[in-house]
Amino acid sequence: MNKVMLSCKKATELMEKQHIVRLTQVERVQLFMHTRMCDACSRYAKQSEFIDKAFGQDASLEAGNKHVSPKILSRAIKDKIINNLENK
Amino acid sequence: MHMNTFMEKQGVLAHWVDQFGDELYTWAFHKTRDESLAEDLIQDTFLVAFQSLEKFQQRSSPRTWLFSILNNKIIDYYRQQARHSTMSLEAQNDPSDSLFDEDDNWKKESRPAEWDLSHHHLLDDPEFGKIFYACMEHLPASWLSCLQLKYLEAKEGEEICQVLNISPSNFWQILHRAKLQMRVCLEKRWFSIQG
Repeated sequence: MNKVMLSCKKATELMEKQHIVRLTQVERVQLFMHTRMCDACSRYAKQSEFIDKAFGQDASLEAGNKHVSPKILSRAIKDKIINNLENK
Repeated sequence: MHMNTFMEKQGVLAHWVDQFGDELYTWAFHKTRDESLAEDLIQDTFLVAFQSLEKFQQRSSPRTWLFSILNNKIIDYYRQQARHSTMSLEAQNDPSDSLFDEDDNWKKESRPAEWDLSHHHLLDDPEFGKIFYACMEHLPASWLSCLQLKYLEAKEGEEICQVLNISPSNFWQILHRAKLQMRVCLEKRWFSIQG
C-alpha cells in the first residue's frame, strides 16, 4: 500500500523536486495518482504554482517595480559615487 | 563609444548616476533590504560601468545595461551569502513538523484551504505585493538566498546547486520548506481574510 500511495508530505516534496531534477517514472505516476485523489494536495499544487509565479514576478525588473516603494539616493551619496570613480 | 578622456567618461557616468541612480537604488534595496549594502552595490555597478564603458556599444539602452550590471552584483552577493551560511536543514527549521501528522499527511487544521485565484490581477495588486514581500522576509536568510538565486538567475536547478555547492536534494528540500512556510503565511495574511 505504502509503495503505491504517497504521503502528503512526500507528494508536496515531489512537486518541488520535479522542477529541479527529472522524476522517475514511478515518482511521476505516484504524484499524479496522489494529486488526483487528495483534494488538499491538489489545492496545494495550484497554490504552489501561483507562489512560483509571484516569486518570478518579484524577481523581474519590469513587473517587480510596481510593488517596490521608491527610494532616493541622497545628493551626497551620488557625489561620493561619482568621486570614487576617480580613485580607481 | 569612443571616450578619449577620463573627464568625458566621468561626465557620462555622472549623468547616468543622476538619471538612473534612484531607480537602481530602489531595486537594490528591494532585493537586499539593506540601505548601506544597496549603496555599495550601486557604487560597484557604476565602477564596473566606468571600467567597461568602451565595451558598451549602445546596443542596449544605458538603463538596461546598468540594470544588468546591478543584477549580476546582486546575484554575486546572494551567492556569497548562500555559500557562507550553512544551508540549514535542521529539524527546528522544518515547517513540516507542525503541518503533517505522524503518517506525514496533512493535519486536519493545516490542510490547504481553497484560495480564490480568480482575481486575475492579484499579482499586480500592490496590497498583495506587500503581504507577499512580508511573508518572504520571514523566511530564514539562507532559504531566501536560495530563492533569490533561483528566480533572479533563471537558471536550471542543477546549475544553481553547483553554484551553491549543495546537492539537488538539499535544494528541493529547502524550496519545499520555503514553499510550505510561504503558503501558510499567505493563507493567514491574505486568502483567509479576503472575500
